[in-house]
Amino acid sequence: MSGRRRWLSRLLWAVLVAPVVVCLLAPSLVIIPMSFSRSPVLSFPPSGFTLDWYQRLFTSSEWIASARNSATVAFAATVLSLLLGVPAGLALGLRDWRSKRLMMAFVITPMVIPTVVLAIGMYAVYARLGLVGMWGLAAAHAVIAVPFVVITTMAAARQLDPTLLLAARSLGALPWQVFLNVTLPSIARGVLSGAVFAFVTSWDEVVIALFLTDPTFKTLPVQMWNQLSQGVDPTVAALATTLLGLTTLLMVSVLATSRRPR
Amino acid sequence: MTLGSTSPAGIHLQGVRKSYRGQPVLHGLDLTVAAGEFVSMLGPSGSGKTTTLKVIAGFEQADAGTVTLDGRDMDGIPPERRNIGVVFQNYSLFPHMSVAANVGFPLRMRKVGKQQRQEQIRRALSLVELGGYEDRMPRELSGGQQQRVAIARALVFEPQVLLMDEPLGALDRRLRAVMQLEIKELHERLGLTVVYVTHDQEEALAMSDRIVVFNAGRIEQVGTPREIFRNPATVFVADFMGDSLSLSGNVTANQVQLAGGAGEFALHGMVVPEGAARFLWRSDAVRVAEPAVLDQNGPTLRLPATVITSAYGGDALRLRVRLASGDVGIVTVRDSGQAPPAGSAISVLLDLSTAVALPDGADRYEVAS
Amino acid sequence: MNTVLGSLQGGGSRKPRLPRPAALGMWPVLAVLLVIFVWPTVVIISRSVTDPPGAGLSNFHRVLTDPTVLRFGWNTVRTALIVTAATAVIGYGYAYAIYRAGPALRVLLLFCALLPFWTSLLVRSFAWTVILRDTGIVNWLLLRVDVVDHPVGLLRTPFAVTLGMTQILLPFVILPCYTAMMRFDRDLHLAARSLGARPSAAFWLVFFPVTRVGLVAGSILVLVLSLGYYITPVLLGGPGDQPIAVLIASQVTTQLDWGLAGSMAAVVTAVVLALLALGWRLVARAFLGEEVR
Ligand SMILES: Nc1ncnc2c1ncn2[C@@H]1O[C@H](COP(=O)(O)OP(=O)(O)OP(=O)(O)O)[C@@H](O)[C@H]1O
Ligand SMILES: [Mg+2]
Repeated sequence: MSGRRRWLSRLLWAVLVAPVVVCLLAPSLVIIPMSFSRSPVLSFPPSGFTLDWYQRLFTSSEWIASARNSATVAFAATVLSLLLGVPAGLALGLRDWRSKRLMMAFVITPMVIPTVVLAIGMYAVYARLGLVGMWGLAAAHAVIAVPFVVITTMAAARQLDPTLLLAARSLGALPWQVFLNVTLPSIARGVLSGAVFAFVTSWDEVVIALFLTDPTFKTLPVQMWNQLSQGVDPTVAALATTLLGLTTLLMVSVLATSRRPR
Repeated sequence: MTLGSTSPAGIHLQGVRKSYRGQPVLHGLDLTVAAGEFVSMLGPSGSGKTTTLKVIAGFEQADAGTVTLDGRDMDGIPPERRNIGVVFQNYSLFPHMSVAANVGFPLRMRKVGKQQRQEQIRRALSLVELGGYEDRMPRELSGGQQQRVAIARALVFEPQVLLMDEPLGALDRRLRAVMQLEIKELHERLGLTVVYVTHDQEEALAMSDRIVVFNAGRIEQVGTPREIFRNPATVFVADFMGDSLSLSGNVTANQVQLAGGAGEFALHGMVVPEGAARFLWRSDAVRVAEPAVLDQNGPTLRLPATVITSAYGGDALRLRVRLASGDVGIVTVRDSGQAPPAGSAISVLLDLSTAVALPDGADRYEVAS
Repeated sequence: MNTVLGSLQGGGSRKPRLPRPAALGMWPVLAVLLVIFVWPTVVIISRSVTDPPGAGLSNFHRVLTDPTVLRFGWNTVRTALIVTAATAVIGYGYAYAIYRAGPALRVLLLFCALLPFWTSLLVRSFAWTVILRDTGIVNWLLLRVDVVDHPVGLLRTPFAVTLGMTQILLPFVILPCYTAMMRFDRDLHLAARSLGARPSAAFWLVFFPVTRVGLVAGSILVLVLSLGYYITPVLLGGPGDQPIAVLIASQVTTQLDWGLAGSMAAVVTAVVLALLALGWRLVARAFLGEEVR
């Protein structure tokens, strides 16, 4: 290809890709300036500079309580989904057995069933199980988070050479020692990223939370949702910016650690 | 029209240079491959064999120098218009196409009619003895069969030149031996020009009209298999072509002083320039006897040596030995049912008339033998 | 010991059978899922035939004939199809741009593709409302360059819903496409070229068919997910642009018509599961790294 034509095709690509990049980033970036704007109606361009919305966010007992609720639920859901998902991921990734693929499909389905269906179903049933408030929501979130843990654990376990486990046994390790010293360290990275996914999934979940929470126990997304349906409020922009900063930090640290060679 | 009816083309490389990110990979190659010739490129990993092939095929542009094919300058001609067949190490069959579609691909690109396409596919597949496999998918074939399909695909459009990059590298030893003969036979039948990359020296010796030995982006030696094996031009080539035993010494007039004061001997009819030199014997040209002191008996040199280790190789025994001069080498002896233990003293018999004298430095010179 | 290891290596890729039931690790998750996932789903779906008592198939009859349900259903299907098509084209192209980019640009483009993945769904939907509202950045730009003289109503339109969902679901296509492209053997492209294919032919006849797995798997996932979308349409769409998920929720919360909600849930779930079953091999290959056997 001649230099001129290569240059032209590059230009063409840039012209095609740039709008996609803008669309991918715009929603994340545009709220940042808005959260500092004096205007209470979120109009563009932002006017003036103020930290009022942040002050309102961080001093509001309602926002803080819901953030704490969200963190509690997400933490509990993560622990639950790890307890359930890691053994399952190991069973799926390490060994071959009959009807394994069917089981895999089954464990993955909570991820794709419309959350509204799950939400109303759980709404109808959980009270009968005594699963109300924090625990009900944590259990529900664990269900939709467990596929992530299973997938990442399974992927990590697949990388594990099964002869390694037998080699460890032949070198004198007991089964639990093999698990602690060989299996666990090898899948740790997969489990960790599964845990991060699980936490984020629960932290971010709205639909089920709308059905399983009540005014005395609201999560952050629910509080945000309520605020949005009442009208424009730049406090939400301040919250969104804060969350964006946190997730970017999380993402950069995950990217940075996954770059390290194993 | 039958396969191979087009006349083969000669390839000529002149001063070809190539760098990747400022790192020179080819340092000005000159190489001529005659029409119809089977030439192997041999050399260690990373020495630039694949890169040379890519420059010939047009996958990479040389930074400097010219490539001509059949006398035509190939500069700026994209690979699809060079009419060169290429066979890759991992076969590179299109996984989503049947065997017939793979072999028919180049014909489709050349807008050959369906009727004629099928006829040519059939003929190409029968050439590699895969008639009846038309509808299989690549993953349903064994490694050897996949390789044959790749060859059929590279031949079906009657290229003037066939380039093969370690085509047998992924096959097991026995299948490789079978395929070597098949490829050689194909070459003889079709008479096209073949450039064949390998880093298996036995394969190169068995198949080629000529061998090009690469080392770090330069051509170390070009010659017939016999020349390369018996008369390596450099220590590198000698080492690369198989087991050997060599002595380093210093040549003055007609005398050679061995390194480390291990002795001296007279050159018998050999013409070697003065200075540091190495005298090299292929392992099978060395005989072994009971221990004795340095003793030159006519053109035969008798040197004491110590066995370091031995390896059983079926009909022969490979001994790694250390000479009094400190030189370490390998000699091959007939297996007599018992390997000499490590540390045992033996003596090696070296016939000066079968020796190859090599410069001990970087330069090379021709030896009158 | 040597023989044990030796025989294992000789066995090739087959994993050795260990004693103990191999699926033991699955039991806890299966038990829990049965109680807190399967049971609620079954309950809600069974409401379709039990509510009101003796309903039989009457609720399904309503689903298929009621104009409101049909309108919401059509909204859902239309949006899902448009979003799937848009994410397929844009996602594949974007993945190809990442694939062809140099190392530095590649990291940047990957970051841009992943950032939305990590950003809260609610935050992103909210951000689109900020962008698209009458006093938002798009209308500001349009007014500034005098394309229009009064704000164009972008928010609360089907366009806003489609745009928002496309952006939110794009990573589900980009990532599997990119993975498939990274696995593509460059030699296949060179082989095609040496066999006489021009770059465009090599792309369409070899590169695209080989990397299509990622595209199909990603598109199935996007289709399935967009059929159940709730948040984004509510925030970005107008009253007439709402999907079936919103109708299901409102039947439960305001109409207390569990029978109709249940039957709509049954239909959506059935469609989703059927689509997934159809594409399961490809989805499993692209997202779970399962080899097709
Ligand atoms: N695309 C590339 N970018 C950067 N460096 C490259 C590239 N291709 C090859 N090289 C470098 O060029 C040198 C020669 O590579 P080449 O593939 O020609 O070696 P080779 O002789 O074919 O080796 P092998 O026997 O391992 O196939 C190597 O050092 C390699 O690292
Ligand atoms: Mg190579």
